[in-house]
Amino acid sequence: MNKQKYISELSSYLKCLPPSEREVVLGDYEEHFANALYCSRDEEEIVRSLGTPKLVAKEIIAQYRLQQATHSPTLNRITKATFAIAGIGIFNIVPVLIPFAISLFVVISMYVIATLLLASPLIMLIQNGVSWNLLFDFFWILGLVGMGLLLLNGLNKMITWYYNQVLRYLRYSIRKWGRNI
Amino acid sequence: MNVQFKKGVLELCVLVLTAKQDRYGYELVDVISRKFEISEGTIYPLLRRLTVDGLFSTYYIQSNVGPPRKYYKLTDKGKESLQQLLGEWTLFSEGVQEIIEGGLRGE
Repeated sequence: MNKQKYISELSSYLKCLPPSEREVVLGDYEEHFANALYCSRDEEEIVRSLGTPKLVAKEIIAQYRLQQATHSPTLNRITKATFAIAGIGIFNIVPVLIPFAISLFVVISMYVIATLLLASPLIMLIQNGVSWNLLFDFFWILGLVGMGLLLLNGLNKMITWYYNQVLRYLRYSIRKWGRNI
Repeated sequence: MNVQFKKGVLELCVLVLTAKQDRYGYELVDVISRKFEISEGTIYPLLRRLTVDGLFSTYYIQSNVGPPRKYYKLTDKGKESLQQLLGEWTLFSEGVQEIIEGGLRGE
């Protein structure tokens, strides 16, 4: 593989990055080639010591995704970062994806429980129709809705903490399993 | 050399090499790969991350001989980070060294 082919392959693997970011990255590798050639190194040998474009691209994308997620954490960005880091190598898939999947399942379950609690008056209405029971259950329902509100409030506070923990683990993962040195 | 060893110290190497003088990417690759073998492509994502995190600022120098080069300059934040990493590394490597010496003496 020569320089031209290396850069164009790298470029096509980096398609998912915004153009400005991709330009910076490709610029770095162009510069690397220019400097290495200037030191009269052989083009094939430079390519070999860089690592394959696919592997280099995976690492760059994982880093970019993690940086985006850290900058402003949303579930979407964190999920993307997790998959990018898990995708660096086959050995990453289990240690990166499984903890994320399990913890996310727990968080989502708690949101579902909160939603059900909040919707409990509606559910009872559908189940039993309008009857004396509804009045009788008034305090019972009030308690359920109150619990739902408390849980939802707690979850909203916890989610930031949860995102930060996931990001910390992702940073650790990329250090440990990323970087194909 | 053990991959985990290298992963741990690559960031420290890059920071410490830029402590006293600004350097360009290829220069860093060159200096480090003289000491231990690295996949040269990995330095650039690392430099990019450190730049985005504000540990480096960069500027271009057009040279009469050779290609234009992007130089990496350690920021104040970068210097702080270097001091912290260096402290951790010194503590760690001294500890390991003592264990090795003790172990070889049979203590």
